[in-house]
Amino acid sequence: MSLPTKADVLVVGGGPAGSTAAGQLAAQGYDVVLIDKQRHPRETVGESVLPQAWKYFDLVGATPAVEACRFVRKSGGIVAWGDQITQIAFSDFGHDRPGLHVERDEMDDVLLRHAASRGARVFEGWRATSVASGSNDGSVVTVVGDDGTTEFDCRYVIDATGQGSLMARQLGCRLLNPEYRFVALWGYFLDSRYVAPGGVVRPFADLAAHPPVTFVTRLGEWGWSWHIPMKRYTSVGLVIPIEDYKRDSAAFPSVQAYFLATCRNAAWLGDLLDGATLTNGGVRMMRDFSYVSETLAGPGFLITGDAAGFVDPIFSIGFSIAMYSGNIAAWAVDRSLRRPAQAASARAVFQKQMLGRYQLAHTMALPGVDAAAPEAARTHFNFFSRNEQELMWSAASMTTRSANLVRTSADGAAPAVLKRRELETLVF
Amino acid sequence: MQPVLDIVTTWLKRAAAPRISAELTPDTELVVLGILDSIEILNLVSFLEEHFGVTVPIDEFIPENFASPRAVAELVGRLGSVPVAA
Repeated sequence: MSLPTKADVLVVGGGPAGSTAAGQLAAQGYDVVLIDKQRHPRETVGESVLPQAWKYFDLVGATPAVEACRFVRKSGGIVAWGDQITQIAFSDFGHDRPGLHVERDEMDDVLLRHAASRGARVFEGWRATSVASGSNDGSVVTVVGDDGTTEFDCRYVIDATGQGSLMARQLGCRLLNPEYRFVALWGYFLDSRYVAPGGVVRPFADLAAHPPVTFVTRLGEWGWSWHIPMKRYTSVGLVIPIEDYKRDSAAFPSVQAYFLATCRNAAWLGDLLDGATLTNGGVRMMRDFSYVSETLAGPGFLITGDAAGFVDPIFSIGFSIAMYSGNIAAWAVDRSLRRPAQAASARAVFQKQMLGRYQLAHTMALPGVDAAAPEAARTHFNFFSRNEQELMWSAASMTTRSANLVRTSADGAAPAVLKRRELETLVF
Repeated sequence: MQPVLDIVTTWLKRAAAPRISAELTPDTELVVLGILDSIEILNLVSFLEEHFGVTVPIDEFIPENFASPRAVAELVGRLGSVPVAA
C-alpha cells in the first residue's frame, strides 16, 4: 500500500501518544494516517508503567490486548534514598489493578496494531522532516521514505515524535532545562536478583510466582538509578548530572565500563546485580532529555507525549502522560473540526492542560523551579482526585527532591497523611 | 438554575456511572472523589458547550468550576445560558 497524500489527520510517531490519538480519532470516523520512521516492534526505553495507564487502555479498548502480553505486574515501588528506605503500594491509593514492567517494543507494537484495528492507516518507514502550518485550513507535512518525498495535506498534524520533537525543534521553542542537565545510561541484565514487597530480595527465577516492585536508589546528590525486572531481562539505568558524568567517567576506558562500575558500586543495586550479566547489546545512553516546549498547539497542529516535554523518569509518569496527551489531542482535534469557531479555545485547553502537567511533574521531580511554575502546577494538581494527590505526595516524599511539590500545595488542600511504609533494610 | 443542575446531573450519571459509588447530590465532590478526571472534564465541557450554547473560556477552565454538580451548574449560569431542553 503506498502512502496517501492527504487525510483529515496525520499522526507522526507510533509510540503510545501517537497510537492513542490515532485510534481515538479513527474510531470517531476521521480519516487518520499514522507514520513512523521505524518499523515496529522497535526498542525504546521507559519500561515502568503506572496503574493509571489501565484507565487509558480501557478508554481506547486495548485492555484485553495488553493483558494478553502477560507483562510483569508490580504492586508498588521501593526507594532507597540515602539512609531512608520507603515503600508505597498502589492499592493504598484506590488502584485495584497493578503497575506493569513492560518490554516497550512489545507494548508499543500492541498499541499501534490496536490503533490500526480501529481504522488508523499505519505506514512504517516514513518520517516527517518539516511542517508548514499556520492557518485553520490545516498543515502540509513533508514526508520522506524509501520511495522518495511526499507533500502530505491534512487538517491537523499531531506531533508524537518523542524525543525527536519535530515541531518544537522546527519552531525553536524546545527549551532545555539549563540547571538540571542529566545523562541517562541504561542496559539489560540477565539473572539479576530483584526486590519484592517488604524489601525481600529474590532470585530472578522467582519472578513469575512473586511479583516485584520498581526499585530506585539514590546516586550522589541528584542522581538515581532504576531497577525494573521484566519477563526476560532486568532494565537497569542510571540518571546522573552531566557534570558528574564527565568528571567520573573520564577514568574509565569506555562508557560501558563506567556504567558497570557505577552500578556495582551503588548501594543495594550492586548486590542485586551480583552474578548478573549485561546482555542485549550493552549500554545505551541519552543526554539532555529534560525539556519542555513553550508552544504545544497552533492552527493545524498539536504536540503530544515526549515531543511536548520530558522532565525526569524518576516517577514513571512518561507513559501515562503520553496516553493522556493522545486522548486530549484527539478531543481537541475533534472539537476543532466539528466546531471551527471553537478551535482556538480547544487548542488553548489542550496546551494549558499539558503545560500544567509538565510543570507539576517538574515540581515533583526536580528542585529548580521558575516563578511562574507553582501557580500552574497547583491548578493542575487540583484536577486530580484525592487518591491521586496522595499518591503523588507519598511518592515524592520518598526522595529529597520534592520541596517544590510542598510549595505547590502549601496553601492548597494537601493530604495530611503520607501512605508509605518505612523499611529497615532490604532482606537478602 | 434547577434545570441546569438536573441536566448536568443526568449527564454525570450516564458518563461517569462506573465511578459513582454513592448517590450523586448537588454537592458531591466530583474531582476529589475521582468521578470526573481531567479527560472526562473535557467531555463535559463539550457537552455544556453544545447543549447550552456557551463557550467555556480558558480562564474558567479550572478545577473549582467542576468541583461539584452545583459548581458546574453555576458555571453554566455565569456564562449566561438558558437551557434549551430538560
